[in-house]
Amino acid sequence: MIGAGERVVLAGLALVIVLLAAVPFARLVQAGLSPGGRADLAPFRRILTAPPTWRATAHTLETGVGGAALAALLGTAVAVLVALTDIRTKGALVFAFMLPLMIAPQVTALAWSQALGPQSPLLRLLGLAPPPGAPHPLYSAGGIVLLLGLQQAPLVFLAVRAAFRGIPRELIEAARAAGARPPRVLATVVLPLASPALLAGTSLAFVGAIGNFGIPALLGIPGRYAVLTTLIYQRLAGLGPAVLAEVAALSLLLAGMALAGVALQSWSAGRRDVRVIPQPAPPLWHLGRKRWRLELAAWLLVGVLALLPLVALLTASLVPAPGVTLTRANATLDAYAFVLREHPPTRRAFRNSAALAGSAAVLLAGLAMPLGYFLVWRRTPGLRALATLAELPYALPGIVLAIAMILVLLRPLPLVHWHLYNTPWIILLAYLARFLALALRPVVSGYQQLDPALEEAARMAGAGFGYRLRTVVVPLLAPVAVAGALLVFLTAFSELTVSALLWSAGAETVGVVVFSLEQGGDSVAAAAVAVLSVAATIAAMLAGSALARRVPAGGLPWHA
Amino acid sequence: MPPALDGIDLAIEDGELVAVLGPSGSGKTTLLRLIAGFEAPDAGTITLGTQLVADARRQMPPEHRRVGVVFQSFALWPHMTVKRNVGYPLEVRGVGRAEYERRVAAVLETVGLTGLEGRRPAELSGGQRQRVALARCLAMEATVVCLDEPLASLDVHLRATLQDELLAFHRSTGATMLYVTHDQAEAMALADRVAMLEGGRLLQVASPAELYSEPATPVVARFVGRGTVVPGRVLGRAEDGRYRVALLGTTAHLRGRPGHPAGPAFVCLRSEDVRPAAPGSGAVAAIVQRRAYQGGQWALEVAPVEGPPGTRLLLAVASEAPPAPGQTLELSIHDGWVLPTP
Repeated sequence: MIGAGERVVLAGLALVIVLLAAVPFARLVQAGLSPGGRADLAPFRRILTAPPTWRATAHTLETGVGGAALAALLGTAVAVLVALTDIRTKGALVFAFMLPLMIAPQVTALAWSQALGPQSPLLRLLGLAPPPGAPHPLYSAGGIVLLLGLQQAPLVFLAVRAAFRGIPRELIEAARAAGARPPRVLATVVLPLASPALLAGTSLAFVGAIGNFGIPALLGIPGRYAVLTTLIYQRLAGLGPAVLAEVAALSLLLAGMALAGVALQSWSAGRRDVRVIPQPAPPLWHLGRKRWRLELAAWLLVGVLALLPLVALLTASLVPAPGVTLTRANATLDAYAFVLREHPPTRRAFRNSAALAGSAAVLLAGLAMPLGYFLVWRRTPGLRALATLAELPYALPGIVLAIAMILVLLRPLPLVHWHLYNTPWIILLAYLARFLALALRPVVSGYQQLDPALEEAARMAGAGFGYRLRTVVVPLLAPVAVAGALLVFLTAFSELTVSALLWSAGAETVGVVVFSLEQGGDSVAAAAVAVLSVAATIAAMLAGSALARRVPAGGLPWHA
Repeated sequence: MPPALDGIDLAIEDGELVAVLGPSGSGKTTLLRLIAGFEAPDAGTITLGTQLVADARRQMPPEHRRVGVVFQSFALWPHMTVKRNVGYPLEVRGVGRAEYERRVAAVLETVGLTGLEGRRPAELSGGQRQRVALARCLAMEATVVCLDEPLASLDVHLRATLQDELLAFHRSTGATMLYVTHDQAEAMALADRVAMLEGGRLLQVASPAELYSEPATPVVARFVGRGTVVPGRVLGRAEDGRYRVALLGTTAHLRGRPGHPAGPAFVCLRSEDVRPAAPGSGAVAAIVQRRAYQGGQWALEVAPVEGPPGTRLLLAVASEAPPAPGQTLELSIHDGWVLPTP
């Protein structure tokens, strides 16, 4: 029973989602499989059988599987530590461990390459630097796998920790009553019950790894190790729109691999009962007097993984020139002065990224509220299919979305004749499409935890749809909407994958500036901009944590 | 899938308090939601006063029906004060400030919450929250107030107090009320009439007394007042206007509907209908299966010697020297109800 006003809103929502999610990918499929207007699989086949494609695909699979496996190992280990033992300082540990997820991949790559390279000021300080001229240890498949694993480990951690919390306490207590000690309980009860979630999280890590651009770009391009994302980038950046058909075909290939990963994730996530709201439970494992050793190990691990690179980044930004050892005497803020005062693209980039990420955050939060209402409380049929459609641009690699957007907006829009290609607007539209799913998730979970009778009572009292939304729904869901907006802002502000292909002169983003400074050889300036963007990210995360009490569990991923 | 509701034909008079009684899954909440407008019927009509509000093709939305609902969770908005919760229907209608204040104050006084206007629902007790929910229905001058098991989640003592308050509310306001519950004691205590639902069908609509002493079907007989249903045979009318009925190896004079034909029938017996008889004069011999002390008396469950296996009768005896399980008891049946043939 939907009133007229609601029907209009519903139609509007459906239209927006179709325009943002379906149209670009439909156009991509068309461009890849029927370039020139006629269904013609020959170009598609030609590209798929070309040796560079095969090599890139093999590399993509190699790094994707390797990265996912490493992420599974790390994420599960930390989840066991945090959810099942009684170590202290869990909040800070989780925050630090989640940092790589919230920080742009290319910044992570930059930080690590500074930390471990032959020119690393930090290693020189410690006297551990490899000899100059030696190949950078990270500029290799192994380095890419390592960093992808680190980047995606928090995803696996979140999935596995939620699974641990969802295990009914009685199952664990029954095992202990039967005489099993914690390691056996872990191996025979806890891990098997959590294995669907582990598989789901690992599939997500795989999809994230094969769609990643920043890490293989920074670490692979110098060493001529191409994966599909960097291959697409290099083709398009080098040869321009003439190769769109070829690039579309490559994108379809990548999208196909990602969809396989998403399907695996859905299948394994569907195998458990998700109705149980995970609650923190008392720890399984009381560590006793040896606890401090494990805490030290945990902080050492997290310290190395999350904090060391940031310190390296900082030191790399304070040296007077690339490759110089940092000493107290020669530490300088010149790089910061340069990027903030003398380098117009950087200032423009910060303004652009703030505006783009901020607008996307606000618009998507505004979209997510009514969408979540119809999805959860009215259970409108057909809307579930629409919601799955809205997940596509986020699940599939960002490069694929960028290509799709170019295809749709290359020519001026019909009727209004707007040229959106080569303007900031194409980036904004790509952000809206990509991050809708991110804004929607906390909002949906917020609706699920509210009593639907609250809205029915307003209807009973005579309130129409708009009045109900304004006076009952919005005030109650404001915290989760803000959480969703914050997540979108954080992710969009320093992202590179999408804007790498969509930026133009005057429409640079922070990610693009860092990338081009580094590719141009000015790694000190690149490090300075990266440090500034990380500072902004951490500030926003802390602001979000202040909100965390009002947001249901899981709304803010870095909050324990 | 069987329909959630089937063949419901129910008319509620102005000012009545009708209880909709039934076990879980009987469709009583669906009935309430249909009347309030949150569900739509696939067939049939719903009329409020002289206005048709729902049929298979078109339904008036809840916003326009002026049907008040007291939800099981009370559904008080946590971000609004008591005053704004109660005055929300007036706010929706755009009532002027002075009028709004006056009506909210009057309604709060009716339910006895004057002085609590500024509190939030989280700061109220269960009883106070119920009163706020009622006040909200009063403020909107609802034509009928539907209550969806409002006392289900409260403890026994609070429940008794709130039942009294609901009755007082009904008496002082004369509101038409539809009270959905699975608790038969509650329904009997509160209602003018009780509508008994099971499996989506209406079994009987009658006053509590009639439901208790003259149940229409075996399900009603068993659900209300823990009656037992035993097979028997109607032999004919007796001089005192009752029916002579053969059951459990004896004959008794029982009540029944006028014009009940002779022949096989089912009989509803309650614990007060069965008494221990002096040995030898008793009509029914039975073996005690179990007994339970109930404070001042013992509840006995006995199996009659004659009669289908598995038949049990319930009766109460005084505390001194109750019979033990396994002992034989002699009983006389001096009242009962012959269930109407379907």
